[in-house]
Amino acid sequence: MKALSILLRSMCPVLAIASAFLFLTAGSCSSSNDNRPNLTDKYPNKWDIPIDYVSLRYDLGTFINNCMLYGSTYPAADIQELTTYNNLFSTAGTLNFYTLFVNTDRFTGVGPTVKFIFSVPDCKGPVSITYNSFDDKLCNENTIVNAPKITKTHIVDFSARTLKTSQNNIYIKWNKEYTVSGVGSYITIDRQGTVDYPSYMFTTGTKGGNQAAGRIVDGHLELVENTLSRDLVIGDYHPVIINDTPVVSDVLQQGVNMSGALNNDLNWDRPMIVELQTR
Amino acid sequence: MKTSYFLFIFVLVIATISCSKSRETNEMMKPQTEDIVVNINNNSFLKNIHVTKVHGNIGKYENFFLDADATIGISSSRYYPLGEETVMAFYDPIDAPATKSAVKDDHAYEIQINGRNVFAPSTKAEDNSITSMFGKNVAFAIPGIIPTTKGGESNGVTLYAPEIVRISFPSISSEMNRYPLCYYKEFEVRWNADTANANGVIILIKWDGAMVFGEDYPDSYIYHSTCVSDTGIAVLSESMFDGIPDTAFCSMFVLRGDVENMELDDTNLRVLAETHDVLEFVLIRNVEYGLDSNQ
Repeated sequence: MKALSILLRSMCPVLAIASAFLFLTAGSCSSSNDNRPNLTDKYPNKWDIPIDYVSLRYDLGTFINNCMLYGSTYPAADIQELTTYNNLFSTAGTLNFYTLFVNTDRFTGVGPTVKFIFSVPDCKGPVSITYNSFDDKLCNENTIVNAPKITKTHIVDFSARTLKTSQNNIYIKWNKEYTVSGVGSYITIDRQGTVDYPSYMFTTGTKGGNQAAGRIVDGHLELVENTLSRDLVIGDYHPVIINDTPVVSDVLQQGVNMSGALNNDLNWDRPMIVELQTR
Repeated sequence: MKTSYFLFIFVLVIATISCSKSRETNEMMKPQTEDIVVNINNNSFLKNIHVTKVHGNIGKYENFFLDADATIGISSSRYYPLGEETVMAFYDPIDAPATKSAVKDDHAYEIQINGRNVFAPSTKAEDNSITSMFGKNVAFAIPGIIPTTKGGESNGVTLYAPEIVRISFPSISSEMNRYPLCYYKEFEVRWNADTANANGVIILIKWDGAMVFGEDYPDSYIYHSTCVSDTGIAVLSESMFDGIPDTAFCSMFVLRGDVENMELDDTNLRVLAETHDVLEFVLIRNVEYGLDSNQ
């Protein structure tokens, strides 16, 4: 076991180098098209991965304290909503990612997400398994069903996102990358699951539905595509401004590095939130 | 008394007019959307993006892509700008078939780096013994292996292990600015130069779909890389950020090293010495001058 542990530790830098380099094989994959094989082709064998010892814990209380320490400007009502949500299932102040889905019905915000990205250091790209709603196998049996079968060392990025608050669409997300190696039913993971990320993990967006973020440029409204709901029907809309100074992550309120210097007079141009109304 | 009364009325009128003007000014500054019509079509929605692109020639680093049954080397890395350097020697028989006896685990005991059997169980760890190898030539001796490309000794290869690389700009000084905002134009990177490193420095921009504003791109990845001279400064082309959206949470790898591939019978070995530093940052495409600024 000790030898295996040493071997895995020794593999980490190699994987890091490989993940930074192996995709540079220009001939085979320098393309903007998705030329990746599908999941079945790339990982012909699938299995269920037990993840009870990979729990991605997060200490929300410490996190919020750190945010306040760094001068956080997040509204108290949103913090309270996240705290209430967290308290539903926290154990000793920590949040376990696969319990995120439990009892979220009483909240009006957008639901949580748990994602697993499996990748090997090659140019074929990762494979994602995303859960957007309660999954019995995941939440109760701590098992990822139909995961790629790991026959050699993989990089697995576990990430989770809380629900969005109903007021300002704030959510916390956190992730951790692991080196996973396993044969048969035994999987070895190279580090503990507790994460300690600072305030960037506070993220904001829009409620979804017919709300989106956008900027007026030369008389036109440029929408921010990752705030636009897929449920919107194609057609013409009349935008009505809901909030022209929405709450954004503290990280986005820093000065901007440009031309070799940090310019504190320069800020990210935050978009406004609009409601798209049918004409 | 009458004078005071008129004075009070006068002040009230002036204040009212002033407030009214102020409100008008605020209303005028507020963006107007009454005349705007926005068309939502299939191109309006979030699209997954997959880009892997090498910008220019990466020189000797191409050797890293040759197939190898095992990798032997020394590595120095830092995945957290305020964290400690991780330095180690490693021997990694990647997917080694059982028939290739040369890359069995126990073969590692015979490997010598600068004359030391670093993987032998009897070897005791010495503080900084691996760290001190950086910035110098390092001799790898693998009994029975004949170098195919170059090498100073008949049973091994000598590589130049560059000085441990550290990104100095964009700079991180505390947890508060751990994830700096970086504008995509005139993106300047600075690091500690190593004039003895002839292989240049690889700079890699990586994005895996994470966003700081709005929804993550669920299944996207973009890798842009380039090789630059090891002068300690580089201004990245805008094309190094092609496809990466505003407020994307990105990583920048700055890596330098040396690598040789060697053969023994039907076994391919890769020997390398590398050092890399990683900076996580938020890519910004839309900027404005703050209200306090005169610009």
